[in-house]
Amino acid sequence: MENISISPDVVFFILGFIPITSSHIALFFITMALTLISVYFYLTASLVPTGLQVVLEGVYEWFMEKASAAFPDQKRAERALALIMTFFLVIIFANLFGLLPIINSIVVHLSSGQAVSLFHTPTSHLSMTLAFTLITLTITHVTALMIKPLKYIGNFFKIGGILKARSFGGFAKAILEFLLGLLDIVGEIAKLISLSCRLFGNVLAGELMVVVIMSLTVATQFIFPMPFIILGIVSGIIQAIVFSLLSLNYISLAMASVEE
Amino acid sequence: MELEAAKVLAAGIAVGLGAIGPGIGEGIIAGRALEAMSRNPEMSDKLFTNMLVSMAIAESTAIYALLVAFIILFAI
Repeated sequence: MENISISPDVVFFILGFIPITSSHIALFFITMALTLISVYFYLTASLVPTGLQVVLEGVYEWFMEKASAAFPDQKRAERALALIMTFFLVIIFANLFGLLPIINSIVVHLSSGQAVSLFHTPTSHLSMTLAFTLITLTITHVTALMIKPLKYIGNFFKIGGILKARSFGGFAKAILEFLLGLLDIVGEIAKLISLSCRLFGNVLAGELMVVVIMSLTVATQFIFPMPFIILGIVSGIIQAIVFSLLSLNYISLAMASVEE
Repeated sequence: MELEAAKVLAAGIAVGLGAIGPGIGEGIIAGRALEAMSRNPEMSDKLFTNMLVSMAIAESTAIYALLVAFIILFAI
């Protein structure tokens, strides 16, 4: 935590050339924890919910409500919900990973003599959030292309209006529509940057704020970072919700644009 | 001006100017949402979640400014 860096620490290499970073290891443990929780949930689920089941069912129902409002088709909403809930659970575990007390101060000494921390909050590295955003955008475009390929491509390249134009005014309007359609392609690229950088920046800013406050003086190391840690918890939960809801909206909007 | 001094100045200016817009925007969002909640308290659950989501989106430009500042300070 002492040295501020944006790129992750490489802990070891697989096969000599695939770098495994501290955030990979943390994400691997989060995946294991989520798998164990889901197995436990599957084995102990009962008709009368207790404990963990109440929480998980509450989260499921909240997202189900949002998904059935976004999709007209109930079956499609359930399929999208599997992805959205996975995003939410992984991101919320990853955002709050930095709060675990002892685990985050484990340091390994590499053969090169360098000391790196073994675990690191996964979402405070751009690689993970970028990967999640790429999954969302791939699913968005592939599902829309699978339903009606030509119409979906036609949303971006609006050539139809130019061919059908009869008057000069109509032609000018069609050219303008064509250019606006090209701007939508820029918008798709902007989605990639905005969705990934929002999550990454929020988590990184929350962590760095605590580090900066702690390194000001000796007196500010104990009680003063607490409000900022609480702010980090709140923003971590909210960013997980925002990421999953925005991916849901992107997928449902792309589907609605080809089916209207 | 030395490069190091220019970097520090640029990072400060980037965050300072980038935080103005989101500050105004989030204030407007919170104010309007509270207005709507006080007028129609039954809707407050739905309004509150929507308010948080739209605030997080409005906040993102400030986060971009912060990222730019970090990149200026540490990555260049």
